[in-house]
Amino acid sequence: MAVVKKQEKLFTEAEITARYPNEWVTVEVVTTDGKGYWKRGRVIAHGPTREDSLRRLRYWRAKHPDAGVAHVFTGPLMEKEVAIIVDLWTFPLEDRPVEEGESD
Amino acid sequence: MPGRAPLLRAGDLFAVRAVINGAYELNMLVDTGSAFTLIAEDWAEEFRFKLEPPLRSIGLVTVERLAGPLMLGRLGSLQLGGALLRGIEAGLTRLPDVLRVDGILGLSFLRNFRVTFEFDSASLVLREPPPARRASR
Repeated sequence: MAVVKKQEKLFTEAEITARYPNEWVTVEVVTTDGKGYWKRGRVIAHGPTREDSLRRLRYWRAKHPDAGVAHVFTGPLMEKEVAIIVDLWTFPLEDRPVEEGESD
Repeated sequence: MPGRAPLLRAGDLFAVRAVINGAYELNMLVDTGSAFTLIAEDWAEEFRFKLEPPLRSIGLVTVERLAGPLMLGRLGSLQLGGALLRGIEAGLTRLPDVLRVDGILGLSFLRNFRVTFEFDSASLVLREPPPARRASR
């Protein structure tokens, strides 16, 4: 796991993919394209597991509350030899509003 | 607002890159079988991301089991390939580790558009519905 302390160099997604293959990477977005997607950014954290890229980010977020961030996996988006069916249905459970703070 | 986003292969499924609230960019599995758009709760926790009110609780059922209650709220905005919607309903939930995405793009977003999966060009195309359908959303 690597939490990058301070990085000034800006990377494109292609450069990050080459630098951190098959890793989860969290990027502070510096520039975006016309569709809102990030073009260049600073690497905040990276690692082979999802936890690697997310750990301690709440502290980074507290210091950078308005920064744009991207979270990507640089390899295949699904493990090999896995078939998955994702169907999610919902039904009314409790027809009531949620009180403030209840979801925390 | 129409949009066109690259379809990213996720095994036999497809994902897209989305931007939430103008600040959070993440990969989302496209799932027309999901009633709601879902965000990975561990991602939300670490980024201090919270759904906006009004919040409500519903039951969540997957193909094989009852998965328990799901808290729903609103996203400030969700942007996809140039298309942007505000205030769509979404939930926070745990996603399978084999999926290397941070969310599921469900019908709470997709049903607002005429959606075309262009598999040959690897694009998800979102077109504005006719005015009559837009009014009944």
